[in-house]
Order: sequence, then structure tokens, then C-alpha cells
Amino acid sequence: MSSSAAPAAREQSRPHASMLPAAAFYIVFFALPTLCLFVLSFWTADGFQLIPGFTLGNYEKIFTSPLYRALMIRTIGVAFVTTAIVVPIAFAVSFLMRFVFERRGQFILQMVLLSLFSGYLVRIYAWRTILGKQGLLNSTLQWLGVIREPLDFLIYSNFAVVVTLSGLLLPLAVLPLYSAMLNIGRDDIEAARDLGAGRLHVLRTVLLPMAMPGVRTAFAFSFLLSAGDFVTPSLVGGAQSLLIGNIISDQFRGIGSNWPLGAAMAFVVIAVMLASYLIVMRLIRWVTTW
Amino acid sequence: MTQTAVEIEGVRKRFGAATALEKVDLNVGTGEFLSLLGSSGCGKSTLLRIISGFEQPTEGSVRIHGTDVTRQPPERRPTNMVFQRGALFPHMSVRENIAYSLKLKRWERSRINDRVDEMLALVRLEGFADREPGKLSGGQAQRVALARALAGEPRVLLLDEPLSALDLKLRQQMQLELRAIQKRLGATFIFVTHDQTEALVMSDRIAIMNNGRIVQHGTPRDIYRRPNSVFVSDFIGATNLLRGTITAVEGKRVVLRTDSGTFHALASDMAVKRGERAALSVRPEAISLRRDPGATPEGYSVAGLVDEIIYQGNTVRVGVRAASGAAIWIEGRGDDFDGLSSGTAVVLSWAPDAAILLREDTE
Ligand SMILES: Nc1ncnc2c1ncn2[C@@H]1O[C@H](COP(=O)(O)OP(=O)(O)O)[C@@H](O)[C@H]1O
Ligand SMILES: [Mg+2]
Repeated sequence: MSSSAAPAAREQSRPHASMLPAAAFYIVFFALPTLCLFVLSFWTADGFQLIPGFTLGNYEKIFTSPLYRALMIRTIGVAFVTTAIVVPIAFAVSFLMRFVFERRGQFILQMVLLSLFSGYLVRIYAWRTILGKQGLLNSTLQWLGVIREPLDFLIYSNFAVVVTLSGLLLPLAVLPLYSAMLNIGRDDIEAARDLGAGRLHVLRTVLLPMAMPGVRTAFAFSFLLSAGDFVTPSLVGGAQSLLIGNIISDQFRGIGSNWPLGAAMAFVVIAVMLASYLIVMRLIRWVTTW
Repeated sequence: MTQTAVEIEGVRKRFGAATALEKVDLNVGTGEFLSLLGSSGCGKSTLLRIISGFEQPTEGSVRIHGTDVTRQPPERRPTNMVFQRGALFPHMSVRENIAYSLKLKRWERSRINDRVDEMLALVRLEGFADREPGKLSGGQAQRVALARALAGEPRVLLLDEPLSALDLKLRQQMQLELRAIQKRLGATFIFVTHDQTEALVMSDRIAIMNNGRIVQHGTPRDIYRRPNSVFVSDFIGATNLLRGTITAVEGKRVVLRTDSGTFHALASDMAVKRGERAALSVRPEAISLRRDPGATPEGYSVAGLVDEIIYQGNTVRVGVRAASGAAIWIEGRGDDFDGLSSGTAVVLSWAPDAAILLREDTE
């Protein structure tokens, strides 16, 4: 993952004193908690009592339980579908903002930022009022006479989870992509066209590789955040659309909680996510080399 | 007569309400180095972009080697472009950049490699194949851009101020290099610049643009010697303009009365009438200076006082103020003006064919 790193990042490859605060922050707030969680995943629990030790029992439980496996597969499926919706749309939106709307693109960017500030829960509830049984979509379709009965797959379903997650994550994915697009000049695209590349080829050999840092971040945002989310499935998902995040969060609170098992689940999820991320990045690299 | 590479016919271009090009007609011969010269905003880039296919003309047509390409997208046209800031693909090496159009044409790998090496030799960057574009100097980057554009053997190469970001010395060197490459390949080049010296040095022919029109085209020598308008004579090189009214016409001989005196001139291929406003253009280096007020050739001289003397190294410019108050500049070798100082009374004169009569621009 080095070929298209930003030049600025390349220059700072040597460790530098000014990086120390960032490094300290990273260690205290990310590396240490993660390490604790990792150690915890090999312990066992008896009620609320944590028993230190080293057992692979938690991991074994995860891989042998049909419920956990099904949840894991569904989670990855939802994350993939969401990302497959979010990243291409965010890419197209960023492209339009950069090359079609130009200066008005900045205005759109501010709207995007504003929508992020409106809050996570508020936005999920907003989707509920759109997708609900008596929601905006159903009543509009009924009023238009397209349907007679409300469509019931719109809410409390995998569909609702994917749509809501996509709506939540789209603005977040636009930010890194738009900022990557700012490094691409109109003449870069024109040079490719001039040398004989059609539009699709320009996308594959110039736009995508040059926007790669943004694509990577947008992909990570939408893939990891949708795989880790448990609020959206519990608010708009049905009984059949719980995700692994819901089970993990259950392991950390209330009766029946089991921290070591939750920690192990979290690590399995992290490992699977990381592997998927690497595979997809490899795939994109393969598509953009010719 | 050489074959025509590019024929531009009645091309007009509007951007909304603004008109960028106003009925442009232009032919470019095969193997010709043509410069589009004009100040910023006069429509040079727009014309080049219409030839390359990045803009559609509002009216008119573009033909390349006889084929109408007006509606063809840029990727289908047999033209390639060198952009002002190079526009090298930053995620590809120099070699991959140059190979870009060849890969699109599905050339074989070994043939591509040979061609890239040939192009690198042409622009004298043999050791640079594996460099990243970000690690090239400005001049090297433009050479790679040239190599990339030439690799696919375009029938016409378009260059939009490719040297304007370079400093003077490098620019002058690259001008000669570019011209040499063009001659060696016998390729057709259309070169946009706002720098008149650059256009004079490099071109077979120059088309001078003003306000979206081509106001004159011809060889550098023709344009310098025989400008057809006050605008062109002022734009190309420095000149002295004596403006006034035509008081007599006898065949080709014309008498022009100005504030600085009455002058004679030849109306070479221009119909003029008594009473018309006109201007006389006399180049600074065509004027000679004498100190004794003896016999002055009537109609081809003016008296005045030395105002300013500017040393430019190998040449000296002298500003003379005529009795009317008009400033007239002359230029010559340093020792031509030894012993001159501010306030010296002098007589300026020129050969009859050095004064060019121009109609005043009607704007
Ligand atoms: N895409 C565009 N939209 C609107 N106006 C344009 C566009 N491109 C060029 N123009 C206008 O057309 C005129 C000619 O521009 P241009 O061809 O770039 O001039 P030059 O290259 O000679 O400096 C200018 O007034 C410029 O503002
Ligand atoms: Mg221009």
C-alpha cells in the first residue's frame, strides 16, 4: 500500500520529534486498550467475576456456534453491501463536486459537514420516519397509487439496515474522497483523454489510482463502521437483522454479559474486517494496473 | 505546395454570453511550426482546445489531414497535447507515462519499450525511465510531457505555453531544443505563447490573435517587417508610432501630418484616402541619429533633444523628445552614441522604406 501514498506522507517517513504527542495519544487511547482487550479474550468469566488464564475456549465457542457464525456472515454481508453502495456514490459525488460544480462544490461540502453535525441518533430516527410502515416512502407510494398495501420490507429488515447505514456513512465517505479529488487536476484527466483513453479507462488508470488515499479511507470508514454498528440494527433492523455488534455489546452489559467472550468476538471481527479490507484493496490495485 | 495538416474554417466559440473566438480561419501546413501568439485572454487556448477536441466550436469546422474531426472526442483525434504544467501522471514512472498511449494502442511490450527508449533519447533523458514525475525538475518534466505526447506519433502536436513556467535561461534553451526536435521529426506543431520573442525565435509562421480573432499571420520576418495594424506593430517588438492625418496621396506616396511634423511614406498594399487617420511605425533600430542639424531628408526625419540614455549591455536605447513633446526611441550599438548626454540637440532620420504606414485600428 505504498505506491500511491501522498508525497507529504512520504517525506515524513523518518520518525520525528513532532510526532511524539500523536504517538503518545495513539498508544494511550488505542494501543493499550486494544492490548487489554486482547489479553482479556483469553480469560474466562463466572458471572461478573473475571478469571485470568489462557484458554482458546472463547474463540472455539465463536467458531462452533451456528448463531455466531450466521451473525458474522450477515454482518460482513451487510458491511460489504453498504460499502459497495456508499463508496461508489461518494466517489461520484466527490467527482461532481470537484469537476462539475467546482466552486459550488465547497458549498456542498459544507452541507455534508452540517449533516454530520446533526447527530447519529437523530439521523437514524430520520430514516425510521422515511422507511416506516406509515413512513414517508410508503405513504407517498400509496398516494401515487403505485402500491395499495404498505411495503413491509422497508423497515425492520436487512434492507432497512443497509439503507440507513448507507445514509449515515455517505457524508463520512465523501470527505476523504473529495479531499483526494482536490489533488487531481482537470489537465490530468484531459491528458489521459488526449492520449487516447476513453472515459472508463480514465477512471481506471487515472482517477481511481490518483484518488486512492481517499478511496482507502472512505472504504475503511464505511466498511468498519457498518460492521461495528449495533445501534442501527436495533432501531431499524428486525429480529432477523441483528448484527454481530449487537451480540458483542450484549457481552459487555447487564445480565448474561461475558467480557472475555465479547473481547474474543471483537478480535474475530477485527481480523475478518482487516482481511476483507486487504483483499478489496488488492482487488482495486489489480483493477487499476494494466 | 505542402499538404494542409489542419484546416480551421469559420470557427466561433461562445461561453454563455461571452465570445472567446470570433470567426477564425486558419490553415496549418504539414511539417509546419505555427505559433498562436497573443496576450492573455485573447482565445489562444480555446482555439487549441477546439483543435484537440476538449471544446466544441459554436460554429465552424476543424479538419485534420482532410478528415472532419469537429464532432470527434479528443481520444479519437490524431492530435496530442503538451499541457502548460505538464500534467504527468504522478502515480506512474516516466516510462509508464510515455508508454501510456502506446499501451492503449495495444502495442507489444518490447515494441513499447523500444519506443520509450527512443523518445527518452530524443528529449535527452536516457537515465530517467524509472523516475517518479514528482522528482523531476520543471524542464525535465516538460521534456517527459513532450516525449509522452510524441510517442504515439500524432499527426499534429499541440503545445499550450509549455515553457511559460520555466526561468528565462532554461526557457531559451528549451525553445531551441523544441524547434530542433520538430525539424528532425518533420512534425506539425501548433504552439501557443504570449511571448513574442519565443514566437519569433521558434516559428515557421506566426498567427497573431487579438480579442478572439487572428489579426495577422505570416513568417516572423513578414510580421516584424510588415505589420498590418497598429496593434501588431506595437505587439511585436518595440516601435515608434507617429499618429496623424493623411494630407496627400500620389500613387503609392502618402503624406502624413502629425504633431511632430509632416512625414512621407509608401502605402504598399493598402488603399488610403486623404483625410484618413493613420499611423507611421518606425522601428527603433531603423532610426539613425546625427548631432549636426545640417541637411535633413525632408519627410523622413525629426529633430529633438536627448531625454534618456539607457545602457542595456551590448545595445543602448536613447529616448529623444521631439518639439511636439512626443518621445521617440532609437536603439543601436553602444559606441554609436558616445558623447551623447541629456539635452543634446539631435536629428533623427530613417530610410524611406523603414517607415510603415498603418491604418488606425477601428476599435
Ligand atoms: N470554460 C470557460 N468558460 C467560460 N469562459 C471561458 C472558458 N474558457 C475560456 N473562457 C474565456 O474565453 C476567453 C479566452 O480564453 P483563453 O482561450 O483561455 O485565452 P488565452 O489562452 O489566450 O489566455 C477568456 O475571456 C476566458 O475567460
Ligand atoms: Mg491560455
